[in-house]
Amino acid sequence: MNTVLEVNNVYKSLSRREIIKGISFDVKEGEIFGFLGANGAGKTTTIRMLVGLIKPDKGNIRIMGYDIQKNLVKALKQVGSIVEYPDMYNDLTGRENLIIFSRMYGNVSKERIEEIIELIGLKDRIDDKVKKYSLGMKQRLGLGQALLPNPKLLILDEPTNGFDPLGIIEFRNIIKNLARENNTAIFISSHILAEIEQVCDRVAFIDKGIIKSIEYTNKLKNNEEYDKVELIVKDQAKGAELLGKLEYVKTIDILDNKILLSIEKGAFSRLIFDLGKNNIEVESINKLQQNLEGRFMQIVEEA
Amino acid sequence: MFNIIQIELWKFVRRKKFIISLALLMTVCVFCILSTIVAAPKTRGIINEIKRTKDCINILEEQGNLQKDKGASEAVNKGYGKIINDQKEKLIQLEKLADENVPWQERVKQDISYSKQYLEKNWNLPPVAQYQERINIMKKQYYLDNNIPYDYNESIKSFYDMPAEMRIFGLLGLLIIAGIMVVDIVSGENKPATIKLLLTKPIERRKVVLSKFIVSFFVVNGVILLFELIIFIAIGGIFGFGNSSVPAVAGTRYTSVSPEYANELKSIVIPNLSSAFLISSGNFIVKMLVIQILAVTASIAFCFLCSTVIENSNISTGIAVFFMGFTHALVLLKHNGFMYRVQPPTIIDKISAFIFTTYYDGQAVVNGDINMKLGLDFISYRYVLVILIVWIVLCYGISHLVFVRKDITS
Repeated sequence: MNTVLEVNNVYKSLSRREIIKGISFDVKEGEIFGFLGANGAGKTTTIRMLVGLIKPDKGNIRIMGYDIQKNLVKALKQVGSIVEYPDMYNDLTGRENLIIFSRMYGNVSKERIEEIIELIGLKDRIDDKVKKYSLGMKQRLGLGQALLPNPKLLILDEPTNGFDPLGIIEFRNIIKNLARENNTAIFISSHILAEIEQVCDRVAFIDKGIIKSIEYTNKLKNNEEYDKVELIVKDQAKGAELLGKLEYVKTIDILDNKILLSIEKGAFSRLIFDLGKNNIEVESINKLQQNLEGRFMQIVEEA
Repeated sequence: MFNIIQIELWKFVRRKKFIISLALLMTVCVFCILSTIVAAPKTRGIINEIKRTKDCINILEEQGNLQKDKGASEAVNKGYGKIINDQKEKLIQLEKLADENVPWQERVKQDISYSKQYLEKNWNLPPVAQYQERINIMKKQYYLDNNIPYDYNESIKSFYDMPAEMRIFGLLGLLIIAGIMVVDIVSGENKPATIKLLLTKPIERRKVVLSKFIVSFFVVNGVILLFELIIFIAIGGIFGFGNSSVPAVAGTRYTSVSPEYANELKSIVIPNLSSAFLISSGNFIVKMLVIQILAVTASIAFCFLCSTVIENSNISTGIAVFFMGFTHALVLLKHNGFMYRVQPPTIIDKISAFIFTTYYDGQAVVNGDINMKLGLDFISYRYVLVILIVWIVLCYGISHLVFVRKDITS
């Protein structure tokens, strides 16, 4: 797969404060790349640099091989984007907004505009002024303008803000289809971890302007040293006493009526056997899957 | 580039501020037409001057009799008698000039001869009054030499009245209205933050800022010229267009006098008659239009700068309107009673010479009266052209640099 977006050792300071401290990553054709970080971690600054709103102090960013510092226009011809809230021209209709943005790309046909209107589900309201739109409708229109040029790279910053549940599902499908059918590279930042987990192939974790880790979402589950287990037993004291004696149990945390355990990988069936053997009445037992949230928390805690 | 200009044009004319400014300009336009129709017939022309002279004689006679009854001295009574006689003499002359049975050439010759006699008789007139009289002689001689019929009724005609109409346009804040039209053209993109969408599209920033300026220049000047054309056609349609080759005075230069002589000469700056020349009223209007277009463009460029440098559109609007309103008001106050200005120029007058809002009145620039108003002696047509172009280039240049280089963090 060809690399669509390359970010190499990029630094950026704003108001004499270093916000981005040498980040590097790349996004390939057809890949959905998530960008996660706490507020103030540097997500939006990074996105603004990717789309040319601010200039990096050091390092370089290439889109389809074009260095955005030298060939911004050629680079942006390949990019559709929503940066934060998709503010539109409120005194114009949705259609007029799309026409304006299509002219900025220069090669978008009328048919393509109609296709986009259909895709974003705004056919009935497209001729209303944007000031009458709800936040969700504005988000749909924002997505529409980003898709107009049939981009090689789609950059989305918090794209599902304001979407209703149905809208989120539709959005997810659009994104996945674009990546699979059009081979579009998608760079997506969101504070909704489950959202990222469901659509992204890879995730970068950014904290205080540094990328801490870039991981494949399907490998996150196997990334832990120990399995985690959540256990509810009738006699908690007796249960805890037994667990303390088992050599494959590494940590025990008691949380209200639950016992949270870290156990050696592959020891889950032995645990069930030992609990039965020692007459511990089990009400509930679950092996917890490592997920994005867990990994994110782990990275934040390590930092 | 043409594509971006089209987009910016579309956005520009759909803005609320543009619609409001159009309504304001329309109001000013209607005011200009109505004021001309209502006021001019009551004040202009030789018939009205005859009426005023008669009224003046009556008042002087009443006052003279009153002084006599009070037992005023012989000298006072003689003084009244002389003034009344002068006015009566003037009345006889005016009545002769108003006689339409006499060919206009004869009347103009007679008029010139009266003016020359008046100047000889009143050799100690203040220089400004002498200048006015000599200019009148010059103009009337031009009518004779070029066989252009002189209209003693001073009828309303498009070509004669347009400079005054344009002056009213400027007086009523044309530059401020022009500024308001563009003052949020860049800052307005920050809230809502459409700037983020605009600048993430494959367009060079320098083209965005240039297209915004080009659109502002053409639309604002176009709209103003359109309204002036409406006034021109409306007056022409009702009263006639007149002759575009009637003479108008242009280019008068002034010389400063030291403050101790200013009271005696009744002016701090004295017009230099040899510098004045006559041009056709059509040419005069064109010269005024050049100044107006440049002053409006300077206003656009200044507001454009405020709009680019200041991100908040309310603050950029406030600062731009305050600056233009304040300087305009200062100049308006200074322009009152300029005929016999004896005070030396203040620091505000000197600074005003460098501010674009001072040149709202193209008429005063073309004929040189602006020097008299400000008590200065260095303002010429070319000087004003240079000042306005410097404003435009500087303001646009800074706007361009700021817009192209700034980080969009809003």
